[in-house]
Amino acid sequence: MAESVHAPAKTFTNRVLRVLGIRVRPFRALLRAYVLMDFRSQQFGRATASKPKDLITPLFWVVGQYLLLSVIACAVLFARVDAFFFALVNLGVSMLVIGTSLIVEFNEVVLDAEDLNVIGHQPIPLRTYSAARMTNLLGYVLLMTVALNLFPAIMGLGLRDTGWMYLPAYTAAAFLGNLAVVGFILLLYTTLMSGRPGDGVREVLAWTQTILIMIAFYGGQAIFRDSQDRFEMAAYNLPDWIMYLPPAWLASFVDSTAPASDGVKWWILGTGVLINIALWTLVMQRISAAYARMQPAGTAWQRATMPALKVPGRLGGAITKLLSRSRAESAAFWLCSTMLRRDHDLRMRSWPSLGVIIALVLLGLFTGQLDDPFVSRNPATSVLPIACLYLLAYPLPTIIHNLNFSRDHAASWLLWSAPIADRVAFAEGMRKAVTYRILFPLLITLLIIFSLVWRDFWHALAHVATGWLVVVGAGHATQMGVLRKFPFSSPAARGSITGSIALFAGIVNTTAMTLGVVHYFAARSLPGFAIYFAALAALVFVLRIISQRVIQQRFAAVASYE
Amino acid sequence: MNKQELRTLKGQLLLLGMMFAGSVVLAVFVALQRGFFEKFIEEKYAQLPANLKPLADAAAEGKLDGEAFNKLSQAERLILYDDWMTRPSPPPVHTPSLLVAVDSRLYLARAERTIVSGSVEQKMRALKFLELAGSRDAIPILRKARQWSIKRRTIEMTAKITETLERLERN
Repeated sequence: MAESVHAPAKTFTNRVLRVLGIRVRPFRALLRAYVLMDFRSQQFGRATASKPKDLITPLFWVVGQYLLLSVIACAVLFARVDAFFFALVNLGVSMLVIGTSLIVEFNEVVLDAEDLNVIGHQPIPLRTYSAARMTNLLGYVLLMTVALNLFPAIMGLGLRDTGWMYLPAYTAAAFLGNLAVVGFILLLYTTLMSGRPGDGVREVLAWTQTILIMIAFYGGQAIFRDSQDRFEMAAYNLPDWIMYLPPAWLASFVDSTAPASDGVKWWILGTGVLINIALWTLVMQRISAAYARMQPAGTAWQRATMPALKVPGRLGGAITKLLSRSRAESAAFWLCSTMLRRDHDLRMRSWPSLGVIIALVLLGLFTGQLDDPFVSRNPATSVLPIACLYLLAYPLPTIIHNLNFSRDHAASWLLWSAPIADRVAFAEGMRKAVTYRILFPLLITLLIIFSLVWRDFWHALAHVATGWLVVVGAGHATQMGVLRKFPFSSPAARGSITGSIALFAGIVNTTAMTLGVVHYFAARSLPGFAIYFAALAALVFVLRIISQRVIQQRFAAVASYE
Repeated sequence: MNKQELRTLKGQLLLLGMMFAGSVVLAVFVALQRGFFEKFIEEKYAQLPANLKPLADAAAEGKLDGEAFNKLSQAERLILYDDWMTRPSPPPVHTPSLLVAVDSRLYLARAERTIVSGSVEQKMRALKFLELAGSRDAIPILRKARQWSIKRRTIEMTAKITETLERLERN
């Protein structure tokens, strides 16, 4: 029996494992399975719209995304700032992203209750299971740390104030920082919280990473175009409180290895190592205890049922009644609103398309580029608020197209067999669900932000009203271009989620951006803006009539086959 | 290696390895191109509008109409600095002291910004501005800039800052 579970201790690794009391064969088998599962990661699969068996797997996209994030950050900082600030920003981004990444992927890399259902009946000792899980976790942290720090570790060597010592110092700082963040999060969840992060938190954090990349991309452009060099000056005159942040301690160590520095601050490295040893000793104990507490059918901590629906027979509440004109419209509005609220996959596919707008607004706020286009004649500061409004057209094709797909697509026979005579009203209900549930709150937020920044409610209202016309117009255009069947009636097959509407979405965006340019020039005078607003309203009205006719014709043809 | 093999664990690890190897090559290439990146670091200066030309010319001759200057917005005041920075060498000697005398905080901060984010030529011109301004308030600015320059190993710049600093401290 002992021979069957212990591989011959021929290699050094096997000998070490045996000394540690770990069974070699189950350990290797488990580790291989976990690495395979890493490539098929579910959470990032949702965020990147890739499938486990794609040639380019979700993990590959995530690593690529992190490399992209770090190369953009480095390109923005390189040659502009000193070694301390370069290391500070890159280490800070790395620690933030590894933290969000761990929480998003918590199930896959730390604690998956499903494990017990799969391997619970196998003779695998707890120590072997824990060792395989922890090795996989450390491998994951290693991979992500390399992806996030490869560019800063090498490109930093090209800075004026760094020497050869920068490379090992930065690498050590990056690993120390990331291991400390991961250890702290694990300790937090296994000691104080429920043992695992909730779905909501993971969703928000997966989205945070997408926004971070957009901020890096657009923020980088803003830095290059900023005539007042605010970024360089911020790096030159760093506030004192920065030095209280852990990435600043590590950056200070990295900076101290520069040839012109007074001496290497080895004590920071030593303290970091000691903190990590203490932290990970605690983490190992807590995680092993958590594994030991795992129960058969361990999904017990997951919510067994979805939140209760409204009383059958009543489609939605007062909002649905207020926004819809017929029962068919109410039905579609209620169905899409409910699915947007309940379907995690749908939300993960849809939310990132809003990220670009949020990133632009944040960027405008922090860099002072959100001027009132009625007042400012400076394109550098007044284009961004207009771009925010016209980019609202961008998510519509994506989200409405995403409404076609569902894991429960087989249940769509209910819709096919339902007595829905007015397909135009049904399509209108779908459009309204997306515009009123998602984009209208975003417009209200923009109205509040613009009112506060511009200190002129009426100017803000005039611009946001234009944004509303853009949203309605893009919605009608999408009805024409995308809606061909009942919602949620297709499986989310590979490539179908974004590939098939890429051209259409591109046309909608280009049209919206062209209108944005007209808006910019129209806003120079009140009569010009009034004429533009009226013309836009007329265009939306025409789009509405055409989309109604197209849908009527399209579904008349479908009905003849039914 | 065909698609089927690339879908295996080994194939996926190989793909990841290739991506990292490509990233290393790119990172090394960029690290060696500091000169190329530094070429883009320079300040852009506004052109002097016709209504400010008499004021700028008068300042160059050592006469500044205080009343007219006080009516200028901050952006317009900064254009006078931009004009001085873009005048052919040697730049007017009176302008810096006059400008710093009427709005020292604005112009010293502006010169400091050039020292941080300007091109090498612009940095040298900004140091000349501080030297000609002759204000003792520029001393802490120059001390900080000197430390920064030493750390960044910009030898020529450090020497020029030290020279300017010594002259100001002597006065």
